[in-house]
This record gives sequence, structure tokens and C-alpha cells, in this order.
Amino acid sequence: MTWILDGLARIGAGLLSLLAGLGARTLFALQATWRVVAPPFYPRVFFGQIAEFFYFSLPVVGLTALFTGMVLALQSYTGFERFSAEAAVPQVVALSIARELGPVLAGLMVSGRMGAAMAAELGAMRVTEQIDALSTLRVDPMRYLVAPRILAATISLPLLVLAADVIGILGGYLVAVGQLGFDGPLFIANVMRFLTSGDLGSGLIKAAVFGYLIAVMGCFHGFTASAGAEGVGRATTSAVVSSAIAILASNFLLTALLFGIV
Amino acid sequence: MTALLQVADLSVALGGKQIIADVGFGVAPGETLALLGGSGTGKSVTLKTILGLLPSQQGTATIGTVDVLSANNRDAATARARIGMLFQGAALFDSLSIWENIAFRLVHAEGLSQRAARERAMAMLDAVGLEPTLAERRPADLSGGQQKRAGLARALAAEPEILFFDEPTTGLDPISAGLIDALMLDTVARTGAAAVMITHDIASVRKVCQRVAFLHDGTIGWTGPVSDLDRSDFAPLQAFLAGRD
Repeated sequence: MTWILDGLARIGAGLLSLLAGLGARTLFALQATWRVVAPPFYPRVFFGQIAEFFYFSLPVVGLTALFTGMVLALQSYTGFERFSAEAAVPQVVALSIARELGPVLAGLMVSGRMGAAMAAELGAMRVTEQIDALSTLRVDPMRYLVAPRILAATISLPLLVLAADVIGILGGYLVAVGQLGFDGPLFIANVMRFLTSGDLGSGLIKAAVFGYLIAVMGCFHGFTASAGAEGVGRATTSAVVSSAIAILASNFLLTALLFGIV
Repeated sequence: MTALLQVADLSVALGGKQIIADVGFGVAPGETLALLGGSGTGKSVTLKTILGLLPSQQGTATIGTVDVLSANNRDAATARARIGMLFQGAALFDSLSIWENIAFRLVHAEGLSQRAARERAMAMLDAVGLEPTLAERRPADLSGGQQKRAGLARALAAEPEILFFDEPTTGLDPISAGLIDALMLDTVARTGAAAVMITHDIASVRKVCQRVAFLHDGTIGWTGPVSDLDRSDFAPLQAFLAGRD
């Protein structure tokens, strides 16, 4: 009997801990989001973060999109060939990239790059008392450090996804035309005919949400880091893992909402 | 003289553990109080609670006439603006140049123009004995002693009336430590600030401070003038002075 009670107590404690963690992240997100819209603003920090998020992430996201588009063209061709539907390859590549693979893969790549970087930078600032120093210098650390990162990530990821969409479709085009014998102008015409603004828009909305989540998770784990270099390492890992989970979970919800399935 | 900072019955618990209980002390303008104690006795917690970086359980910390632990946010922030802090590791912002670090509060909280703030930062750099050529460097380019001096310049830039020094000479070579001691002594004498210094460096205490408050087991175990340190019969203090804390 005791072991049943012990087991239940452990499950209860785990559940409470999970809820406390979710609550802490939600509270942090709300506090930070309020500071995004209420002055004072720090444009220098914001534009620095835009450069980090967009400009320096573009090569990684671009390469990911290029190879994804190429693989997608190959895979869909070999699959569709079985029932003579090869002509659908351009549409499949374009829709898959714009609706799903562009935002999700860009989100995951950026969470690995920028989520980790934010957690490491803010974590190092926390353990070296730089965040405490900001408070003693009469500057709100959430406003100075977190709000510009959240805004920059929310704006930058859709721009990255737009670039990823173009590069991913280009990857599909290169394989389809260069290797599979598709007609180039026809490939482009098919993409233009089937791809709607709704397809592109849904991907960009997803990207904005993913960018927001990456910044919230990266900043939260960095801001709450403790215990020196080991704590910063833990914060970095947690930021990447939790932002990846948040991206995948919110992707399901957003897909259901945006395409009217629920 | 009336204390500019008066702390009374201050208690702090973190993570369910009592860190300090009923701590009290006062510091008058032109005076430097050493807050001594072994590692983990709550010295930094005391200062961080006064600064609003940690929550207090009970007690008061009065700056002038404002109890910053019970006042509303605006009044507490205005009172705390009278404090300047030198952190243990200097806590300079890695991404900014030295002059930007020193001018940070002037630009972002006091509303000074970049030009005026830079002029002030250069004057502060000179006041702490750092070469003007270091102004454009990043903190990582400076030695530990230079970083501490830049941190002191940043703490002094907005002319605070109360100064907190957290382990100002820890990790420094004797020459750099002597320079920091001289700067703290000179600053308090020149500005008439009330200062609280946390340190393990007894030589520094004897040079810079007038009074000592010794923390033991989270409470003030002994307090008195520096000249009475060696005559104290409080055993934990004597153990601390003998380096056995």
C-alpha cells in the first residue's frame, strides 16, 4: 500500500513541478511581451538582434531549405512515379515547403542557433552579475535584454522563412529540371498556379509564433540560470529542447487552426 | 552623525532556508562600514536585498527617510538611485566598450546625450587612474584590476550618496588591491558618501573602514570600531581574523 502512495506522491510532485514550470514561463512571456509594446525602447539592441537573427542565420536556414527542397523533389518523384503522378512534383514541393517544412525547419535551425546563443549570453550575464548590475544602474533588465530579443525574433523568423521558401523551391527546381527531366518554365508555372497567398501566409504566421517562442524560451532559461558555467550549459540545453518542443506542439495547433480543421 | 542608510531587523529566507535574521546596522555620510563574515553568512544577500534584487521576509532598510523594503515601487526606485555598487567581478557589460559601460546609467536612466555622457565617462576614467586609450576597449581586454577600476568608475558616474563595495580587492595582486583601497578611501573622503564594504581582506578593512559589523550564522555577532577588532572576545570573529572561518 505504501508503495502505491509513494508512486502517486511522485506523480503528483512531477505534475506540480511541470505546472510550476509552465506557469513561470507564461508569466515571464507576459512580462516580457508587455515591455515590447511599452516604452522605453532600446533600438540599438533591437537592430543588433535583427542582424543576429536574420543576417547571420540566413546561411544556415538557406542551406537547410535548399537540401530539403532537393530531397523533397527526389522523394515525391520516386513515390508519384508508381501511379504516374510525376507532374504533381512542383506543387508538392511548393506546398510542403511553404506550409510546413519552411517554417518548421527554419524554426528548429534557428532555435538551435539563436535560442542557444540567447540562453548562453543571458545565462553568462546572470552568473557574472551583469543582470543585477543593470538593475543597480536603473535600467530594467527585462526591458533592455529580453523585449528587444523577442521583437527581433518575431519579426526575423518570417523573413527567414520567406527566404527559405524561395530557396527550398529553387532546390526542388534544380533537381526536377537538372536530374528528373522536368521542363523549367512549366515547373515555375505550376508552382505559381498552385501556391496561394494563404499557403505562404500560414507559413509566415507560424514563423512569427515560432520566433516568439524561441526568444521566450532562450531568454527565460538564460535569465533564470544559476550555478556558474555548469548552470549556463544546462540553461542552453534546456532552451534548445524546450523551444524545439514548443515549435512542434504549436505547429500542430496552428495547422489545425489555420486550415480550419478544428 | 545621522545614518544615511539604516538597516533594522532584516531577515531573508531563500528556497525555504533562513539566510539572515534580524540584521541591523547604520552608515553615516563619510563613513565606511565593513560587513565581515565567513563564506555563506549572508553578506551579499544583505546588500542585494537592500538593492531590491532579492525579496525580504521582514525588516526595514531606510535610505534618508524612505524604507525601500516597504515603499511603493516609484519611491523605492528613487531612493535606491542614491546607491552605487561595485560588484565582486566588476560585472561590466561584455558587449559594450569601457566608456559605454561607465556612461550606461547616464545615457539610459539619466537621459544625458551620448556626447555629454562620454565626456563624463572620460573624466571618471581619469579619476580612477585609467588611461583614456582604454575607453574604446572591451572589458575582456582589461586586467582584473583595471576592470575593478572601471567598475568603480561606473558606480561613481552618477554621483551616488551611498556606495556598496562587494569584495573589491578579491583576486587582485597586492599593487592593484592597494590602488583600489586608495581609490575607495579617496572617493568616500571626497564625496562624503556612506559606504558599505563586503570583504575577506582584513588589511583592506584596516585601511579603508572605520567600523565593522561581523555576520555569524546569519546574524550580526559583533559590531564595533576597526580599532577594537583585535580586542574583541567574540570567538568566531577571532577565528575569522586568524583565517579559520
